[in-house]
Amino acid sequence: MQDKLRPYKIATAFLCTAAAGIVLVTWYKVPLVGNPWPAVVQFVILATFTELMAVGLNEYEGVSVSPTGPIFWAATCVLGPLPAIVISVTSAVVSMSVKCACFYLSRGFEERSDDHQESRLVKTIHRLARDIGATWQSRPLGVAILYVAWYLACVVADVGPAGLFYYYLGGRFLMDPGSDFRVVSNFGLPFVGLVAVSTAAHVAEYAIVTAAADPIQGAHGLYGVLLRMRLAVIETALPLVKGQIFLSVVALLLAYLYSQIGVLGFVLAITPVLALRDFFSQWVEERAAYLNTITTLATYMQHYHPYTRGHLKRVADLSERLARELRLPVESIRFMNAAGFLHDIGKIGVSEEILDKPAQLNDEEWAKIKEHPVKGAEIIGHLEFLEGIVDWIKYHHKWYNGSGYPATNGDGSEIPIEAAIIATADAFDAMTDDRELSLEWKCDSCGLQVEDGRRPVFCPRCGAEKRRRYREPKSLDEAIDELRRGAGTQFHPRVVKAFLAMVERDGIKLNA
Amino acid sequence: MHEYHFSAGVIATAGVLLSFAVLSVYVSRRYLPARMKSAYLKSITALAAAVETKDSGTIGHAKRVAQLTVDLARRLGVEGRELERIEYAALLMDMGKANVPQRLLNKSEPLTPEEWEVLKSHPRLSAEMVAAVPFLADLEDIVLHHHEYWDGTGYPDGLAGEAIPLASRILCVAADYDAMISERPYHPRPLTPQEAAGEIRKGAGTKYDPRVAEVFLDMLAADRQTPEQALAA
Repeated sequence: MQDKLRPYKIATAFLCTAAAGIVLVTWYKVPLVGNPWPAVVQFVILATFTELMAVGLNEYEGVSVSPTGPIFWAATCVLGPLPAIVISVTSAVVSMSVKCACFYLSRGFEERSDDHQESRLVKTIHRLARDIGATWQSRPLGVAILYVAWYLACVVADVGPAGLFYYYLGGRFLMDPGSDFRVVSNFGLPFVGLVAVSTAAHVAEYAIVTAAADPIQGAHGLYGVLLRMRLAVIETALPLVKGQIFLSVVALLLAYLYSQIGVLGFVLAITPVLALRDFFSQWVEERAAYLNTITTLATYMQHYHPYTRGHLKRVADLSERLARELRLPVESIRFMNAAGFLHDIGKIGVSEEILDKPAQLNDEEWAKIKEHPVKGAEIIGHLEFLEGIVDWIKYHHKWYNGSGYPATNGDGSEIPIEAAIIATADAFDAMTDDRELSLEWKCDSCGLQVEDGRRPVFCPRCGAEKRRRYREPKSLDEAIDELRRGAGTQFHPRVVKAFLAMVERDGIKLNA
Repeated sequence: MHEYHFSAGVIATAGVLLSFAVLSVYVSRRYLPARMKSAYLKSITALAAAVETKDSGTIGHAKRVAQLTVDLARRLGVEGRELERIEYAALLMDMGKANVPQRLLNKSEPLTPEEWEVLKSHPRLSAEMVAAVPFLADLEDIVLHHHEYWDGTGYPDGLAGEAIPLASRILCVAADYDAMISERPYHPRPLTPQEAAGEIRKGAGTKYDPRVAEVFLDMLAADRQTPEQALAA
């Protein structure tokens, strides 16, 4: 059997070697300043506290960099790269252990909370443990070790080069008694270094993992890796730089305050972080409630056919899984589910006679149907916070090669990958859906239900003709073959590839 | 050992950080709720408008009814959260029509009894929809009963008098008035505002809560009177 973890093992080994190299270079090239170890302990406590407090936020707000990043950079500016590496690794290990412990603790609570009337204190502890433990998953020992090694190597690969750059660009370690504070040498140049290096580190990390896990077809060896690198830069560098600039300002402020007033500087710096956390968590909650409200309403609006709800839910789930598989930005993943539920909302204005017509549609009726992506996009354009998904909906019936509808001037390159994901999920579900075969027979016009398993052509009560034809659903293998055949013409090849990988790894439930 | 200084730079930095903290607390307590409310109103209005595209006669109906209802409810002394609920309910009351076949909604000849049953299910459909959303669940009753009449001849439950929630009674008057003055497949031409007001007057005490109808007519009269008319009278 093929080892599915192999690419990840290779990537981890690669990154760990790089991290070890970075540590060695730092060890021999950059001198320690005074006795940094008491400060190291203070920084470790601060970083661990922040990491545990920020749990869950980066999932939501697209903060793709760890919130502890600026603390490690600050440590670099104050103490030098080697102590900063020690700080980052120690605090990562401590906070991961705490998360792991909280995960098992909260599980323990869940098992016994049913039959016990818990006191308020216990409830609070439970909630806290659940929140902190939420990012940890139960996994086999080998995978857990791989994960920890990867994570630590990533931290070193970010902090180490950042510190080296800071040093070689003329940044003075602020703990150095001889260093007087200068804006350009202490802040200006090293600032550029911090941003550039850490962005490069993140891009490299992304490139390694995607190159190992998902090599580009037909491009082997170094050429394939280079192609991957190019993609990684396009996909991650730009969104990252903004965040990195903000975080490096925070880092330099923190370093400055710490060098001037010590631990008190931590307290000062942590207040806005606490306030921001409060703001973010409220914002995240409000927006989740909002998205839930809008998608539920929109889903109910499409309930004319009892099976639509199942279809929409499956498309939404599948689209979200595909977006995760393709490692799209958090922003995209977050709205994928809502987009799945909303993709056919434009059909609200198309009459049921046309939607359900068993015979061939005439041109006029086809034109009506073909309007639905544009109409849907129009409706969604009026919904607050969903502006970003308008194009996903508009193009979900466009083919990869540019055919399909609505007509555009482009060659298919204007179609966002999210639209391609929805198109694939939609097509797959339509192929495998057993639709009304699994449902009770129900009259389209008077709603009469026949429950004895018969499927009459005319309604026994009002005499209306049953409009839907019955069609045998495709099996999973047939549907997958169809996707594979359509890759490159109808479907986006990357999406199909991710789909196949996902099905092979996790399986898929039809009509769940 | 390192020496610490509380220099001007430190104090300035501290000031910036602390004011940032205060600002973000302010934003999350004050600005955010207001922002979310406008988002909800805007989006629910858009969804209601999308449902109305099914039924060519009702374009803009929900929005106009919401406006009328809020004005009327204010005059009846409703305020605060209750007023907000009425506004949302007005926007959402006909959402259930999304699941009523378009053929029935646009039919100009009289409906058969079966078709009537389907059409009359829309308050229940809307109420189900509203009940499924935690944020709107407390509107279920208002939405469910917006076609109940004062004398118990309405649908779906045939409630009468005070048993109908006040908000539903208000909605009923405003929605009927707006339907009368709009193009609908079931009447040959829209009524003029004066004729519609006459109909509401006729219905006070039978179809509509007399107090609500009276305040509504007062409101219409006050709106209609331009300064010149007031002078002439």
